[in-house]
Amino acid sequence: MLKFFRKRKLLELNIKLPLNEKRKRAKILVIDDEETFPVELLTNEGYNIRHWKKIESLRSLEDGEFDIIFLDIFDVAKDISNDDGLGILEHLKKYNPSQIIIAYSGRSFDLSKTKFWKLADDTLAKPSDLVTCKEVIDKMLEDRFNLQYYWNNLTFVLKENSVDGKTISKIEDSLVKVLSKGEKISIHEILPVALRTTELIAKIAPLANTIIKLASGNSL
Amino acid sequence: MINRDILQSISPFPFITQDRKLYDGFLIKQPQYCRRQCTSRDCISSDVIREKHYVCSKGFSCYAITHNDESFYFNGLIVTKLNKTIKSGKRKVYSQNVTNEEDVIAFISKLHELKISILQVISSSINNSISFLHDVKTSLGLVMNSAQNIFQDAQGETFDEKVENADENVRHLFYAVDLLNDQLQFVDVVANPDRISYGRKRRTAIYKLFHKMVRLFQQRAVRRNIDIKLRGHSLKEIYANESIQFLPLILLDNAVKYSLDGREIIVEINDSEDGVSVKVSSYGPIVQSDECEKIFDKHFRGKNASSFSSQGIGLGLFIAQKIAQAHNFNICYHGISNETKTKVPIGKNDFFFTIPINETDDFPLAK
Repeated sequence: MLKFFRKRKLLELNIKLPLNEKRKRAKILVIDDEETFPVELLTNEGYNIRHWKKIESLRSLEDGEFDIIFLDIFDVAKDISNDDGLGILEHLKKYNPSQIIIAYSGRSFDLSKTKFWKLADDTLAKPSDLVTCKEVIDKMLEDRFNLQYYWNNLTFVLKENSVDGKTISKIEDSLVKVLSKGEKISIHEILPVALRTTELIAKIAPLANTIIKLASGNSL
Repeated sequence: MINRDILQSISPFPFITQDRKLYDGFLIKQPQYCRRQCTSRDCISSDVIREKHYVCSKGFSCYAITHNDESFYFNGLIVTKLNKTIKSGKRKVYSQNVTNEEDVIAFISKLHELKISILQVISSSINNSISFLHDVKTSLGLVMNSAQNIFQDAQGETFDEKVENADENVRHLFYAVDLLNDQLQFVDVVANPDRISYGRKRRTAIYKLFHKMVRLFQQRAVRRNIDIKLRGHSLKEIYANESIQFLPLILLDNAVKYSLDGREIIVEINDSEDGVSVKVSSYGPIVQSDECEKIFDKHFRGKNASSFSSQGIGLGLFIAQKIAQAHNFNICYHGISNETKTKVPIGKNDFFFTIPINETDDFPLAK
């Protein structure tokens, strides 16, 4: 009887998107001043992918608009950061640590740029053929573009901001409730009033939005 | 950057390495006690705080430092004020080993400065000498994209199928571009061995990597009537960094380079209990038994290999072993000589290893 009334946890929703669906749903951005990435071919294969020659909007990167970012190291953000691509990588990782960033450069011989490669979630040599690009994207989608990754990171951020376990459970319940109903919600609605600070919302909004994106349109 | 040779030439203090070799400093020598009487060598310890004073069981002051993943231990010192353990008799006998903490700390700090300076010199030297490769890679990327576009109209569902169904010349052109790209990427690893551990450990099908590389080398092999055969059955995926792709490149490049014309190269890949087992066999000059230990050393080229081919600088196998070790295994070599009457002893060369499954390092935040 008790089991019947037990609330479902987020990861019990059993949302497993097939790879093809993930390819469509995940927004991928390539930031590279050159045109070596096979963007067109990948678009033809069903990926949702865009190319910027340099940072067009730092704000949209901070807001987590893109699920996977391929980032070059040189000549992509000179006007924003003295450290160019590395500066952007450091900024985004500080602002939104769960943002998936793949270092994409042909300068992995450069000993002075080790930090760029170590800080990134993964690396892809530039240039790489279509098959390799697909493999790197698909494996990232399979491994990380899922509820578990984003929920784990969301709880991590909440704990880091001294949110207690009970409150986290409440947030999870609210999330499960709205996702089960298939309702459209904003991050404010799942956060208790006391936690609705601009800083915390900015940190968790990209994670919560991705969770909602992953769950939307699925029969739960 | 800072190795034992450099440290030996600039250190004023005596030190000992992980393999228990003792070195004198140019100001303070190793105490006779450390050289002749001490057998415990507990100055070598992984439990101590790096760059902080500690005392060994024989009462001498020590400092542990680490450079390039190698640990060094300044030993046999008596640091005034900090070392209250050493007996007064020993302190008298080894009065020349008395020093003060400020000097040791200042030297350790200078080592860090030196390391940064060396790194900058190497980095700028590499950048000056090979940064032009970046432009080559950019051009190659454009060629690769154009080549890939050609296949769009070919028959087939997947890109691989389209390549297979395309005109043979176009297909070979694409493979050659792909091989050239892999070889250019390999230059980066040679210049910067740290690149071996770049990226996350992602699921990798070893069979697929070798399959691709066999395809890329086939054209080169055919010109010398060498047949590359891929055998075995492997479905397992292991967790590996991007650099694992260079293993097939190095091993097949070596096998083709040192194979006799008209012979077979056999690549055998099978799933085993512990992971994925690989064996690359070729027929050519064998490694002399006294050289087997050294073939994975940097810049080492076996006598027979050098006589057979002037190409090569002894880096491939060195890097291959580094990649292997970064993935918790070692590459082994076994050679059987069949023809000893030839100028260079010829026989079957086997390079073999088992790659363990390894573990994912995913979920970096919420572990």
